Amino acid sequence: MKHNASPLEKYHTQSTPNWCPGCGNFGIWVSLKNAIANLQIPHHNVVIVGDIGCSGKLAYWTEVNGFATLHGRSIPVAEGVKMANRDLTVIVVAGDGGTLSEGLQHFIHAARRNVNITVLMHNNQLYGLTKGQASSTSEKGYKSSTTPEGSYETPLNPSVLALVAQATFVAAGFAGNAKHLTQMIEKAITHEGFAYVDAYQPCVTYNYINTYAFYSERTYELEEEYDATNRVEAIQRAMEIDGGQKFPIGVLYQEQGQKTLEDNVLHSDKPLAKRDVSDISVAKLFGR
Amino acid sequence: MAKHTELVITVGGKAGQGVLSSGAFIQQIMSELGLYTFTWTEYPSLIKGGHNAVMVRVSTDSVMTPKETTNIVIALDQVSIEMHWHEMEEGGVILYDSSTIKTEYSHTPTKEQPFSMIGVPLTEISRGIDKSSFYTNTAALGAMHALLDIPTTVFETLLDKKYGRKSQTIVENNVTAVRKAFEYVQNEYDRPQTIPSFSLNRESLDQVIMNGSQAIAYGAVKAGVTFTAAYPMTPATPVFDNLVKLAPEYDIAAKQAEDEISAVCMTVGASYAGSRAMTMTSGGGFSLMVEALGFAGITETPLVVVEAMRGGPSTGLPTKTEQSDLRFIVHASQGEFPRVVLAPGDVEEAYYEAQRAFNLADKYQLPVMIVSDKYLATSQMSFTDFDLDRIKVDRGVLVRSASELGEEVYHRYQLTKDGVSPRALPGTPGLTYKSGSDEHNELGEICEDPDNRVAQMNKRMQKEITLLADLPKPQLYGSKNADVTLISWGSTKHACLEVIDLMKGQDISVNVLHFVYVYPLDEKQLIPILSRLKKAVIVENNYEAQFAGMLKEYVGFVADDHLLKYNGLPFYPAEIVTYLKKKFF
Repeated sequence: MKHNASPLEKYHTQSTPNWCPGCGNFGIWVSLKNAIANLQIPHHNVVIVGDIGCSGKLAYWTEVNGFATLHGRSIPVAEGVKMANRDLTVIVVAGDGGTLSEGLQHFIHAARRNVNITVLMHNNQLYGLTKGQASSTSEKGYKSSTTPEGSYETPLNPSVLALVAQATFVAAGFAGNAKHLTQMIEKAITHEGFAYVDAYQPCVTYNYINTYAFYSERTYELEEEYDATNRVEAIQRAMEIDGGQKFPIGVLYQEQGQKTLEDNVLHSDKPLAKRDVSDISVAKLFGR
Repeated sequence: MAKHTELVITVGGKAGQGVLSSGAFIQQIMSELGLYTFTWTEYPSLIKGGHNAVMVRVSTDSVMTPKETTNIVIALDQVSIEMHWHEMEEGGVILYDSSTIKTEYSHTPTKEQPFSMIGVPLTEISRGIDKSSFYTNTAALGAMHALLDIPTTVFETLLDKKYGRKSQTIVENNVTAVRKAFEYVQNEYDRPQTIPSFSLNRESLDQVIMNGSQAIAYGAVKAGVTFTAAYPMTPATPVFDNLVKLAPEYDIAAKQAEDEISAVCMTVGASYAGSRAMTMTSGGGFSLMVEALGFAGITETPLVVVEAMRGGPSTGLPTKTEQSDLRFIVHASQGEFPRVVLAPGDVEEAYYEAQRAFNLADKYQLPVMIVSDKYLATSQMSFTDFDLDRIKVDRGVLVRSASELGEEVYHRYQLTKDGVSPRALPGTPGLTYKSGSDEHNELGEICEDPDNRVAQMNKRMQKEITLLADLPKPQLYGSKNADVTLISWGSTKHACLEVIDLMKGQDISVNVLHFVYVYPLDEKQLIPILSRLKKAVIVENNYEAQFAGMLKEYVGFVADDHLLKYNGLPFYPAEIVTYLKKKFF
């Protein structure tokens, strides 16, 4: 194991990230590790469910359980994990491509069924691993190999989507502000229900618009008196990013006390995964 | 042995007229009278208004297939008369609702119409009770009792059982309808002596009557399924519906997902976390599940998928039967990974094989596909002997705690001789690991090293070799050295089996080799069996002779011929006999 002076060393696996130097993923990763450490969740009880993309690889590099899935499918896999064992802390790490294009339906439905998982979306506004193609959150005019004249589609607003789909927790953070992002992730993990965190992630290799400087100048923390229990106001605030000039970070919305998917779908408190199934009687079903 | 007697009763009507429930009643009545039944349903992809038909074959011996011909048609509408006209056996009866059907056919048999037409004012009888047409179908069954010369007491008891808790008036009204129609037939007509009659002093059979969907669901419950997710698709939905119904009592999480992709991914997730998990779909939905199949393959996550086939491709024939997804199921998903494909042939096999599917999935940590079809999924079959506890749960090698490990680090994908690496579940104290869709090393970390790739590929594929020892052989039915062997797989089983009896006393003898385990095919196991066959005919519900192709490819066995059917209907034993006579006589 490489020597590492950081207290987060215990969250590192033997293999190390191969993200580009300066990648926004580092800031998000540090925040995630900090959040798990601060919450003192035993490593063996955490499952990071990774999507496909630069972000999802984090599942391989963090010393908790990591399940690296398919592009766009991390959310349903995570829902399955959570339903089978609600004692686990389940965190989805995915990019904007997997979450909002290939897997958009899962994002919307996970929100409305209030499954108690955290979805941490690394939002770099492009497809990094396949060399910078435009994504659902790319700004209009973003040029890439597949949009040589510039992207002409209006970007999706993921926080608004989550809010409209009745998510019970929606927050935004910035990879360049790890202290704040750590708090957001902690709050998301401790939230009882579907928690979405939109993490603005500069891609130093392909995205020359949405840089560290871009976000440093345009993000602002939600004021203390902001009322995070008003969904309509949350939507309005979340819509501020549509102009590309103002990016509120903080908890946009949180609603406590709603039933979770597990509350609705499970019939007992004992995790399904821990049930002894070796001797089940079906005689009754056969009229015996 | 008592004389073999059998009879086919078909009920036809508009969807919504109670056709299916009439079929269920006939089956229960006959079962109480000590008779075996088989029920085949035909319905279009409509909820109301289309033609529905249910065919109940009643016999003194066990029966598992539908027939092409019918003795009694109960026609609740005009279309039913036209639809089933050409299926009528000589000397049969079409019993029709004379209040709504104005027919010009002759009551007694003629040259052009070699069967009787018996009109009963069913709707009028019903209206006479409470002005509704609610009792039309029960009245029809009352009339049927008169034709069969059996008392209505059993039926009346069943009506009380079904509606008694709801309302005594409903029971009484139904019973009145039954008796009035019964008396009407007795008073107005002479019972045609050409209708087979059954001896009534048989003991009622301790029967299990269910369809393949129920049997798979009950098998899954017995196997300890704790999680299931699905997206509705005919004809796979009944398996899910049955599990949803049982979910509270058996502590099962049953989730309808937003699509099949989600359904299978939830299932993989739940299985990864340690639940015995299953999803079910038909061909179209399975197409969407394909990518996740490979995901389960490379992450070595146990997965059970029920694929209930229907006529394809695309939307195809949504409510008809076909066996045309076999090759697709065997090859689905990119890359190479081990899998098992099994195809139960009846309710009994469905119950046992669903359990074996879970054991194989757990023991070898791979996807197992249970191949069903509309025929198996919806046909009601009756059985008398079922050993409910025959299959024992085997969850494979599980690491329960870090201290169980002989080493400090857990190697999720440890290279082993049999290819199976001890599996730990997330949440195991003191232990974490990586698992992922990328090629990985023994620790589960991404690894693209060529030597590691070969080692992990070989390890995974070794499982498909190791597990061969666990796969039951195809079963040979009938005499060992028959002139012709019919090879069946999945639901063509009983159509072939019945041919053995039908061919008794003919110039050639027939036996049947039935395959439940259709992939992987074990060359060493099968060559000695197949090479002994004198003449072999593969019977399949598809166009491409897919299983015949697989036997060629994997075993090097070339059958003498194949008999194929792809019109949406299952095989009738009689048509196999016709084929054999033409081909081999």
